[in-house]
Amino acid sequence: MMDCGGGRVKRKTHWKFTLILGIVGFVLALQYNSMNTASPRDTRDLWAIRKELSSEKKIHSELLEEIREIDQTLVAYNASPEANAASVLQDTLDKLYKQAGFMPTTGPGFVIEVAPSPESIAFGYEIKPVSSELLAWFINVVNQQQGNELEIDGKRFTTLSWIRDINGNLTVSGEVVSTPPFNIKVVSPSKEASEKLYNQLLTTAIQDEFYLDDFVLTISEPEERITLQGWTGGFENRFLKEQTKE
Amino acid sequence: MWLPLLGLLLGVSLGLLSDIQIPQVYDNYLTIAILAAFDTLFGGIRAYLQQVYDDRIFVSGFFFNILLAAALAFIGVHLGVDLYLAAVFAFGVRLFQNIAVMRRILLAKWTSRNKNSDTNA
Repeated sequence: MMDCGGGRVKRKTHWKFTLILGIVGFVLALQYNSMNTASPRDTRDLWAIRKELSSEKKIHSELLEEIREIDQTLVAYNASPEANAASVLQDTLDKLYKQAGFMPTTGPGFVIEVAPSPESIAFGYEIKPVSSELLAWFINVVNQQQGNELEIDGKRFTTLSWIRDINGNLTVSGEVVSTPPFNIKVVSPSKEASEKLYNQLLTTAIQDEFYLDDFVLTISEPEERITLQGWTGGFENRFLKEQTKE
Repeated sequence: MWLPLLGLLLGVSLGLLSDIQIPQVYDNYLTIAILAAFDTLFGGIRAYLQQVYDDRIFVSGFFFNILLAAALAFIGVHLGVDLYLAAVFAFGVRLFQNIAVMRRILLAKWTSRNKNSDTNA
């Protein structure tokens, strides 16, 4: 009798354990399901993939070009006798200076004149300096194409340059840009690139944006030779360090 | 012995087949619920081995611990304090203690059985 009762209790306990373990197993499986969510489906169509492929190929060719250039420099270093090594080094230095915008550059490009609009002159409005936001917008439009060089009111715009309003004056790397009229010169890597940029500037809303601030952009036809001055100010080297010879 | 294991298998397969996914927002709750469930489960096995097992304590403990842990996580989220960590810590420590006690009991049983068989021989 006792045994029978004990067995029933034991069976009951087993059933309860079974139920609880079933719940634990279920919750564990849920957690497993939630953790191992399937990777999102690739929904790109053929054209999206082709576009990505073309951009990757572009990067590939750019990298190859860079490698070729560096290889050439290396060959020049190795081929030249010791006396000539200094001149190769100087060439490299000049090239780097040119890239950084420290040397004057000549190339195909065009000149843009920023002038007050005739209406603002006729109404006798006070001519204010161009706002930094507007100039930054303009530079972004120009930089949508790679390799363009800029000079704003005789101040070379390099990759390290900055545009800021200082006490109501527009400055490029700390140098005050005069109140319009002033010229902006743009030099492109090739004539085609220059024409492309010229057409792009004519079609974008940048002229309207300047007109809203009472300025008119007069964009001259692209020319074969435009010369930009080099950046005369120094630069602060915060991150690069000289490598010691091993 | 086999029945609870069957229950576990049934639960796991049911969960895997149902293909239900818990949103990431509720991940914390689920994790802590699992921990609480494990704590109670091992507590129950330990009590069973120590012969102090009580059905009511086991079943009520299982659900109550899960609810308490989830509530703690919920309050923690709303207060901006990771209160669920408290539950994780508490359950984690208890889990280790329970398993250690189980191990000792099982070892003691095994040693005494070996001794008995030796004396019989």
